[in-house]
Amino acid sequence: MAYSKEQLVEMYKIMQKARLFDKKIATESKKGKLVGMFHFGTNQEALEGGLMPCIGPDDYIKPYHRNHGCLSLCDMKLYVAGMLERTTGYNMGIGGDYHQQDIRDLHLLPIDGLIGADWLYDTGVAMALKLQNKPGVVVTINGDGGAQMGGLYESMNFASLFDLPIVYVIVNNGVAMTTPTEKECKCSEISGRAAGFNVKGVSVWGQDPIAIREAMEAAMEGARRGEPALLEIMTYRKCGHYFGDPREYETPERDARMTEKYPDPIVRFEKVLQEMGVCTEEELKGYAKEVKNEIAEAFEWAYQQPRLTGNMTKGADKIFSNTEGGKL
Amino acid sequence: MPLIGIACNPQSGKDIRRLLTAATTIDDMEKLNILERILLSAAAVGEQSVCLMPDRLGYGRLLLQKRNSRGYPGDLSQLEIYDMDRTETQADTIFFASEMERIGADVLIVMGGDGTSRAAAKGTRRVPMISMSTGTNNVYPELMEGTVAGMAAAALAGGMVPAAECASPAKCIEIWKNGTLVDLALIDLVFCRNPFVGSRAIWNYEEIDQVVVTQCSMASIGFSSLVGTALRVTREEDCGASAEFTDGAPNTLAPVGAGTIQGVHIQNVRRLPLGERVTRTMTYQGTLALDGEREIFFQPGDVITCAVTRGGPMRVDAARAIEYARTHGCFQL
Repeated sequence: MAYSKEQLVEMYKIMQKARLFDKKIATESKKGKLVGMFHFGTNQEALEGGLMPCIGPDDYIKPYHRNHGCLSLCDMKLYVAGMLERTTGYNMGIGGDYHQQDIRDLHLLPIDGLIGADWLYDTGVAMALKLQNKPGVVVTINGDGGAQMGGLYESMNFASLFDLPIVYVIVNNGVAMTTPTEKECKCSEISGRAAGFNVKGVSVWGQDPIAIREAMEAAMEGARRGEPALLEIMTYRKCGHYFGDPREYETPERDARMTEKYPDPIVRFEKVLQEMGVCTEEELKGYAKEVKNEIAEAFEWAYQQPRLTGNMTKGADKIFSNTEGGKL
Repeated sequence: MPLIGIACNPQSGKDIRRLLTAATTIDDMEKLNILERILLSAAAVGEQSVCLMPDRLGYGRLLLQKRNSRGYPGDLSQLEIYDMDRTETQADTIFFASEMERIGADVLIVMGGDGTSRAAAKGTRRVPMISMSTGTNNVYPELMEGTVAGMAAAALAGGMVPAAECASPAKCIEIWKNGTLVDLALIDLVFCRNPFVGSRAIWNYEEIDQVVVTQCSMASIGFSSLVGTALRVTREEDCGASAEFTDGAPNTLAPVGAGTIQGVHIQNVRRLPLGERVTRTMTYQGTLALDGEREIFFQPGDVITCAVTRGGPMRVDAARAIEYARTHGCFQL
């Protein structure tokens, strides 16, 4: 399938959003303006570029902690305010970076602090969609470390058994926190495990947003018919587990090999767009600047918002309540 | 000591076509089982060394663990993992095949689909090659039991069968872009209207413009079968074929993919004598798909030339090798 210029530019901007947002966090952290642990997805941005345009208004998505490209779904200002613990941000600023959610409006499902547990919750959301006869597909993302947790396999069995509209996405970035993938599982590709549950599973090279989008569209189409799928995105994380992690577990030899195999997806996509005559270098620079400005404005706005205080975080009224209209 | 090389592609049989069609999935465990059967049967037929291409998972390492486990009844003593730098891309298969030629391997077993055999062919066209199907659309490799491949390889490597009795140069399609030889295909070359390499597979058949093949039959699946709807070309015949496809009213059914039979409009079908060059000046942006995978981007104005030749790898007919060895008493006790 060929894509229009508008679609390709959208993909490019999402990728830039993922990278530049991470960079902004790094800059602000160095200034001492941000506290907490932040997880970056450097070199993995093709994932969001290919995946996010496939998420329709009826669909639900659960990103994982390295998915700032999923911000394309959100109001950037409200997200940053939420991240900076400002009361006007998402979830009154209680969620921080990691745990933001907006189930009702954005269909953004919560990320659990216990990696791998949310495979189960998200399968439950897919079950709810089916029971309520609602359209939509649940897309749930975790890393290769999360894919070693038993919840994924219980979930796939359940999804297969009940023909649930769900796509499990594994970002296999070569390292789970500090453990290289080859030391955590005896499979060349994790996607092969799906067949054991009668779920279709494929592995996709994760540096090309077009390849990811093509696979994602096929997976979503199947999931809408009640055929769950497992999509494994093969990539390489070019950053530490958290901002500040010196990556002492990564050897220079392995890093060189993985970098050659998984080159910078943004640089690569820029080359493709220019070679095809879709965009000029100047246009691409303009799009990147546009995204950078949007991020800067969001931070400026969020810094002016009222801070969350200790007392405001207390109380049973901060529990998500469906009877109260899904509000905090 | 006779030497057998084995290149097993860990990624074959796992691509996007599993989502789009009911294509077979060949998982790591099955590939490991096939490798074990090859090694056991080869060892039973004769003495030899076996060099296995290294891979990310480490099929060789897992087999060595098995060999060294207490009470393992088989003989895997011939196995070595070839010492080379890994890129974990098809470049590994190309390099490994070229190394097998350099160190004088007697036979090379390639496990994968058409694309894997194509990569091996880019590394060597001299070492006799047994191509086993563990991919998606497999026309070049054969669906073959590992035991049989191991027997044939051992017979060939051990000198029970002269290579000339069971191996012959395969056909291939040589491809030039703007006058430079850029690649080859073993079975089919597709001029595709989709300009992106993307996930490589083609499943939107309306995007196919022209298909050039080295062999074709309707009794197979994939792009060669599209041409096979109009004529049959065997792998032995000294010719290829070409056909064009348009969005006109379908005039034939074609087995285009695993479990997918579809109407297509085929026209201008013709046989291509060996060596005849087909040249096109492209008028649109698209990609050339080689053996089923989009690989080469082209622009309007690019000149693409292709020709079917006998410049492919030395293809081994495993059944013929075994039959030759049998009729010459090589398996008698």
